Amino acid sequence: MTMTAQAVLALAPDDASVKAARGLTTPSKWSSLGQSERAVWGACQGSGQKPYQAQVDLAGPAFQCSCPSRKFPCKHGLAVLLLRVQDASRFPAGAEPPWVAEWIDGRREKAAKKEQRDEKRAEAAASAEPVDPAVLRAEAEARDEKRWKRIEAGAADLERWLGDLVQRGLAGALAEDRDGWIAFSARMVDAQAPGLANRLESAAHLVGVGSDWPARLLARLGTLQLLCDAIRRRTELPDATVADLRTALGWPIDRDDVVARGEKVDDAWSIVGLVASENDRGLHERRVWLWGRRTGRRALVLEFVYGGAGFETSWVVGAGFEGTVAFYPSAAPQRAIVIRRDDAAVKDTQWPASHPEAEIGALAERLAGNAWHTVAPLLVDDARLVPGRSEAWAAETSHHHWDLELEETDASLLLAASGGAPISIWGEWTGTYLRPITAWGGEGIWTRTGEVEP
Amino acid sequence: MKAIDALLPVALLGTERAGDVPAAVRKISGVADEVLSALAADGTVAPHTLVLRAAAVLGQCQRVGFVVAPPSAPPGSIVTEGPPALDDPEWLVRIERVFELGPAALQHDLLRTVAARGYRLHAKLLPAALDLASSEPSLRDAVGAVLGGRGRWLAGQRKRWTDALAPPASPTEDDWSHGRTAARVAFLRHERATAPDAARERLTGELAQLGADERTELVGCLAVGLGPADEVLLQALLGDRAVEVRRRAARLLVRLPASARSTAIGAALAALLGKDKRGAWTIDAPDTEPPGVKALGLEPRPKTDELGERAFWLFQLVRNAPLATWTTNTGMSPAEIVAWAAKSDWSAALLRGIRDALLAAPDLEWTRALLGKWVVKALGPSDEDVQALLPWPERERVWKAHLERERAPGLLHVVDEIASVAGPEDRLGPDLAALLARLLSVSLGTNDSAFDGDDADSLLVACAALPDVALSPLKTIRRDDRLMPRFDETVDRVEQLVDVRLRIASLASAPPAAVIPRIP
Repeated sequence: MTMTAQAVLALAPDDASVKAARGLTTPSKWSSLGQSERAVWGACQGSGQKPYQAQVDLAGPAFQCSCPSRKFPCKHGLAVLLLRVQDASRFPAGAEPPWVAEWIDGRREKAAKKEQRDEKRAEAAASAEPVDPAVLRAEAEARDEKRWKRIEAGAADLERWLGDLVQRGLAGALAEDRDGWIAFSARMVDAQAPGLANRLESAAHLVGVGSDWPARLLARLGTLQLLCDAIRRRTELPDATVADLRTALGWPIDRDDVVARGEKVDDAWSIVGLVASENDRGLHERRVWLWGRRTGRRALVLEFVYGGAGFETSWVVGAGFEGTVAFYPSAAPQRAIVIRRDDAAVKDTQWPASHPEAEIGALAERLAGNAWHTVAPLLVDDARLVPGRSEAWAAETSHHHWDLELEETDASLLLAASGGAPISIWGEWTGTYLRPITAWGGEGIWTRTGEVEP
Repeated sequence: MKAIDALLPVALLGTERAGDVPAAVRKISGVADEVLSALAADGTVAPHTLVLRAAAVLGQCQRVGFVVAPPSAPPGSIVTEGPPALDDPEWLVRIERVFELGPAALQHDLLRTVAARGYRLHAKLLPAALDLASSEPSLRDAVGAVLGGRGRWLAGQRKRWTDALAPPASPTEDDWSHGRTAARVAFLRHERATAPDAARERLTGELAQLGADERTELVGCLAVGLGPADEVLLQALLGDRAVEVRRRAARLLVRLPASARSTAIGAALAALLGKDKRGAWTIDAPDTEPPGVKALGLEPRPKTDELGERAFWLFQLVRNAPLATWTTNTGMSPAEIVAWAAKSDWSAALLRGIRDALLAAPDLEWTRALLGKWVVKALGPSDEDVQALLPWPERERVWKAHLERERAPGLLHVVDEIASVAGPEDRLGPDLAALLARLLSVSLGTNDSAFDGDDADSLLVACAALPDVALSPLKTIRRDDRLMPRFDETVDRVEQLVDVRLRIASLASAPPAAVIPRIP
């Protein structure tokens, strides 16, 4: 496995770990550096007497370190990989020391045992007295129905609340306590509809902000009404729309169901965008955009981790893999799970291209298909960066002007990469702005560095 | 106007007060007319629900039916490329880190080496480089050398970058007429350098209108191109109503030994000199306040002063007398005079006065003399002000002597001094560098080190002033077991700086850009 510094740092749980790892890339801090086909290892002197032993199983990658840090991977694991990127000659190839070999062998054994157990389970399931699928289905439906009942009750509450607000008038919202809205939204969480809570909270934050806040707020409240109506009439809706409704409510289809029954697409996938965000409850979200080279399909992989844990999968923008994704059911399929991935099978970088009118048409169809999409992909080719409104930036092609959601630091880097010449921008359409995520065609691949608001 | 705006009057006022809500909804036209009409026609729906559903429809239509604006910007410029970018991934990370952490000397080395090898900076590093040029004027030229066409184009996109790279503009009459004090000072200094008499006349004409602070600053500009023609104005300023102006004028007059004031003070001092029975020079302090104190611009004695009254007046005379007064009147050399003053009963007054006169009118021989016989009791422990008058090679000798005498405990003092004067291109001589590096390599990795996090910056600046040949003791610094984190961190930073310096040296000796293969 050859990893770039960027790929290594992408595994870090937070910025502090990135900084700490960089600070440990002084060779004199390390001893016993080495590598084999399956692992990289080293001992890092800390403040204690005994150095910390850090090792990486290249098959994951997976990390192990003797330091007491609760972060995963810890700074030592990241640093040993960074050091190897900087200067591989410091890692003589050779036999793994016992503390490495034992761990790697243990992992392999565990994986093998798990595979055996899965096989046995599958055999047992195959040979066991089959449970009537109708019974299983009925049990699942009963559970779902229970949840729908709670959601309906919550939605009824919400509808009354919305009605009260509109009867009194939105002008009065200015004088109201935002905390009251947020407290009410907690009832949606109790009703097992966290998506309603999130949307109501975000509506609360619109009040009084910007001169057009009443129109934006009204549109949001309208969407909440639409959700309430959809909940009430869900039995009349197509399955795909119900799936979208569940996602909007914060009750997505179970991952195993997606793997089992979701639309499968085999392709050579390019990793075209990666965005990280963190909410105030310590939840880290990562959005990874994929483009299928043969099918042209676009897929969004969502990953979540809490607290100090790091993301387990490595994604490098510009890289590719041969694999299969399973799409979550939707009237405009977008979110997907990667169920098979072979990085070695795709070595080159390939980027998508699009025709502007076709791109806008596809975007409109995607938005029309799912009334509750919060982000949708948009590719703008041959775009130049130009000054936009109020010291912001915009991207212009020969036909279109796109206002950009772009922080100053990122804008400077994007300008530098473009050099004024046309570039391609992959981004997320927010309904008002294009949020650039990746750009190519200039000097280097530009990726958005800052975190994005969830 | 967006279609949903048509609902706002009802929504803002509230359906309780808004009147006929269905009629208001039916009036909205041009977007989803049929759907809205159908909604409005449903008499079973409460007005507030109607408004919300209409908002849902209009919101969705707006969301899906967005119209992308046409382009409006005029065609912009495109970069014309220059030298190839240094795009080795290791170097990209390394340069980014040096930009982030400094010190300036290391940044300077790196930029100069990149330019000398025929490279420019990669696009990814250009904004950081331009920000560096904005914040560190001493690096402006070095940054300019590695921008290439792309970097110069980028600089043109931001005023702060354009300004940072532009050569300093000459001050203009506009600065004098309308600028703030700093701009006026810059203008007057500039004019003094080329037309000192005209500048003096300009200042003279405006003095009466200026406030005390501005008068003080502008009078200070007379230090540029100071000459005998300035005597009249400076003498007049000894009577200025502001004490700081008087002080400035007095300090400048010390640099005019032929002036009437200097002559008078010299004569007053000469009158205090005498010889004892053995023919050795003696000096006695004035019995009382010397005549013409105000006219001479001597400061009045404060109510309490650690010098007694007679010593105070002696001090005033000495500090305002050109140093040549001593050599002329006694025939002694500066070193002899300092030694003589140190033994005098009036040593504090004499030595302090000599120091002040030296700072007002620097002289290398007197600087060496005073430093060679620094009397702490009279002058205090710090000789930094006077040391700053020495040329760099002599300062190095002082630092080396200090380290040889004090060893590790002297490191903090020497490092701080080096850091305060070293510019990005300065390098220590081999002898001092070797000694400094050796002492640092032994003391840094211990819990007795004088350099924890707070002092790390000056330490890094000093280390950056070490020549390449002196760096090897600091490549791998031995660390004590249980080294405390703040010392450990400092050692890390020093080792990283040394590592980068040595890699810069290897880049400097590598073949030029056209020949280096790109690393895959």
